[in-house]
Amino acid sequence: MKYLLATNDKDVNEPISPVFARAYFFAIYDTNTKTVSFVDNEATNAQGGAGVQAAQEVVDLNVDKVIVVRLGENSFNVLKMTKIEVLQTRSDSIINIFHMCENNELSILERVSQGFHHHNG
Amino acid sequence: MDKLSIAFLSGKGGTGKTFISTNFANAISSSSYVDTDVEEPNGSVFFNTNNTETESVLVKIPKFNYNKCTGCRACADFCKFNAIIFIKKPFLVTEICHSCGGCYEVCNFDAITLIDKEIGTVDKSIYKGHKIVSGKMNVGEMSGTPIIKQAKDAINDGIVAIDCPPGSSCLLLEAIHDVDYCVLVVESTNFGFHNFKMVYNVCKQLNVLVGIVVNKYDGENKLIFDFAKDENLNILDVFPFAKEINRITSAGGLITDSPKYKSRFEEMYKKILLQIKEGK
Repeated sequence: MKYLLATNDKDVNEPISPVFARAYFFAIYDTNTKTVSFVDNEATNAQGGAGVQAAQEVVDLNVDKVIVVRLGENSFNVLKMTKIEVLQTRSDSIINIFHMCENNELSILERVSQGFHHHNG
Repeated sequence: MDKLSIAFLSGKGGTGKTFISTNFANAISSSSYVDTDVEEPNGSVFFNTNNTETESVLVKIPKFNYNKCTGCRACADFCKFNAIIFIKKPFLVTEICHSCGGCYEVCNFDAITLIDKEIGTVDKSIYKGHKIVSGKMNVGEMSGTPIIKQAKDAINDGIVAIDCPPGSSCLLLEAIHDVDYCVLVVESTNFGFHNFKMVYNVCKQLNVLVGIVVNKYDGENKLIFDFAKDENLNILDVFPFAKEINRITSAGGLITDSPKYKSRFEEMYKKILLQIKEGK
């Protein structure tokens, strides 16, 4: 199993990012090897559609579970089309959250956030 | 008759673009009014007509033929707006699509066709001989620029008063594209002055002739007058913050129905023509 969460630091003792799509990195935990790896989130600098792009990256990374503090509608709608499970957490360190996930202590994300989409006006 | 387009813009909302432009169109014979504030058009409330024709504003969006799609992902990789997601096959996030047609161009397998999607409407009517056009964006759409273009294209001749959207964004640029003159409506407040400078700079970049109408003047804030003097700008008219004007406008009336105000807008038009003739 692979779990993924968004973060702004490449350090497992640092907290999860409160935002998903525009976080700098994704941390990925592999339950087989018990290791955490980090990948850059290309959607950080997206002019628009960051939610869609970030979710696309997550889909391409072939993870089984995604853990978020909150999640925008566009990201949610993309992930919903896949078998990826979206779980919710409170702010905590990356390593603690992965351990909670492994122990099945996290619940399914119930509602999405509207987000702050840019406006043309 | 040739076409002469005069845009009314302000930066800040609520300064009186619609007030000035509707009255301008009403006062000047053989003129038309085009509302390009497509996100919240309200100019037509001042022109009471019951002969409205409505046309759709359509843009193209991709439709995927999954029988032909090989899953090469070229379309999703091409889309810089991230409007195509790829989960074994491509899916469109319709709201994000900017209708650029790029995905259609890069598909080598004829798996994409472009289909019409309505993003808004253009209403056309006639009020006392004036053509009245109003662009309106559908709720939930991202970009109204195609609606503005179609609304402006609805008039081919005569004097056209273009009521612009607030701000200094893409929508405004589309509204003032190719106009002959820009009337900058300014409210005599610090906020109004600040946003005036933003649109003034846009006009300066585009090298378009500008004139100023000070609206809701309180008799105190002189920022715009000092600025106009320094920059050598033409102040076309000054309208006070007056109950008489407010009473007529808030009831959906036009002040240029009274000869006193009609002549002021005719005077304004003469000054604009003179400035266009002089070319500065």
